[in-house]
Amino acid sequence: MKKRLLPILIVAAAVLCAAPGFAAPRYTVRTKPSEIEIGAGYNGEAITVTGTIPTGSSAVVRILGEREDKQFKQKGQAFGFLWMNLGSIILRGVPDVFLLASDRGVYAGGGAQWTKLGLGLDALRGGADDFTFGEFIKLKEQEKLYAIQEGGFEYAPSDDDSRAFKVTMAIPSSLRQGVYKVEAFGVQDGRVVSRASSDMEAKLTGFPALLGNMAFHHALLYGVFAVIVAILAGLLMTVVFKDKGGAH
Amino acid sequence: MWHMYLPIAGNSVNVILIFGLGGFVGLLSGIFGVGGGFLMTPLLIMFGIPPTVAAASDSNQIVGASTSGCLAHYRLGNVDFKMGLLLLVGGVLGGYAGVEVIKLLRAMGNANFLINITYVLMLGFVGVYMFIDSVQGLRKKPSSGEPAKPVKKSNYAAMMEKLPLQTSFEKSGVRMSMLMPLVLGVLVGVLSAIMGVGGGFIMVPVMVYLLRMPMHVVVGTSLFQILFTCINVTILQSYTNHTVDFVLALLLLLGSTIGAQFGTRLSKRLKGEQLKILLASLVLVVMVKMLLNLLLTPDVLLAYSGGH
Repeated sequence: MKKRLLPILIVAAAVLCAAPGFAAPRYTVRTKPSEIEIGAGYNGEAITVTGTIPTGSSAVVRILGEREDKQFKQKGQAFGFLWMNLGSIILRGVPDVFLLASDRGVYAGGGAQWTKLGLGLDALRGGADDFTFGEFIKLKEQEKLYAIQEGGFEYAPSDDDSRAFKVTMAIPSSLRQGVYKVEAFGVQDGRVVSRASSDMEAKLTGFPALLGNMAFHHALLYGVFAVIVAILAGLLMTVVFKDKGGAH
Repeated sequence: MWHMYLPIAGNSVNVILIFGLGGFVGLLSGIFGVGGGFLMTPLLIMFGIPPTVAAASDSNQIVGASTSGCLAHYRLGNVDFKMGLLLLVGGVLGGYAGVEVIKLLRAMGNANFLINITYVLMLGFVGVYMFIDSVQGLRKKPSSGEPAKPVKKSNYAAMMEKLPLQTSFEKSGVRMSMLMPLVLGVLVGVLSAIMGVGGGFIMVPVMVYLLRMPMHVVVGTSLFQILFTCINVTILQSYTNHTVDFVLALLLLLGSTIGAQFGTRLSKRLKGEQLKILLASLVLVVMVKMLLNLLLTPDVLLAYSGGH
């Protein structure tokens, strides 16, 4: 049985790979640098996203964090005048980070035509009502983890039916370690005509990596160490001040 | 330039800004004998540090600031170890009881409401009482260096004398039952666990008004007690919640240990009543800010779950 099945599978695979839909991806996207190193001096970073889209289309680039279910507290008024956390709500599958760069003509202030494309935040609302989702976006924008950038694209001819694009995007300082998805879309006549994606990793390096590892994997030791260093620093300062003339 | 990434807080901060913040709060810590957690944590949150990380890392830096402040006060003869130890034992017991109270409140719902209201009422009561008392003190004895001894022999004083286990606290110059600091320590421990703060700003008025200690001994002894409370909190938070950002704490520490030294010197130059009036004003400012937070519509009506 197995022997008869194998040639059939090989032929089927060859046919599928030859079909146009399974050709190697025509359009591409990549970032420079290809990974973000979060060292002691990290304070956000400007990255360059390059890629190709079909000739005649305009580019939209998205950088998405991991999508997860998140619980939030909802604030409301108790007794009609005191603001406090009154309830909680879970938003399903919302990305931790959402950075978008769009050609001016495509985004056009985020009107109905943009919404129809399904590339914006509306596509990721995780079952939330309009009001809650609006507050969620405000919260994320305050942390600079959600941002929309209009314009800034440069184009150049690539080959017969594609054009190369380049855009610089700001990565926030509050970025966490993880793998982020970078997507490039070609948009023409109100439709998405191409799609390409790649991964970009952000990882802790140097001192932050050492400390992060210790805090999460040797927590008790880390706590004791933090206390001892604090006490020593306190004692050291006392000595320094005494030598300089005067506890009295 | 001048920025540093904090791995636990998950954000980068301006080193000079954090250093300055530490210096400012350290100064207050040295002057008043308060840990400053009730000021520092909201300031750190304002600069983009997650609330749970802000509170836990602040405890870590208070360990350094209070070591420095406590030692400086010890040299000036301002630490009553006997009183401090009794308050500490009471505070630890009260802390555990407070955690249980919080659990009970959460189970009943509305815990946040009660925490916020407790905060505003406590701060309001302590602030107003201290303010009025010290203004009266300044009017009566404009040139007096030490706070006046209680003139009236109240029912409270009579009750204190009747309690068993009477002992004398030489540094503070008072004689009372050992049960007094122990029980008051428990009460402050319960309140500070509910409110999630070190408790210095409650402990100081308790020492002044209920234990009747002189203001300068109060400051040194309060720092002694805060030091041990914050060691406990730092280790517990590191172990259970991984919320202590050591880099953040170290930056704050550099500022606050220097600030605490200046604060201690400044404290010696100020009169007891002046110290009280300044602390009362500070407590009232924080109370008004918290009250406004409760009354004014927040910018965003959604917050992350976890931490309070």
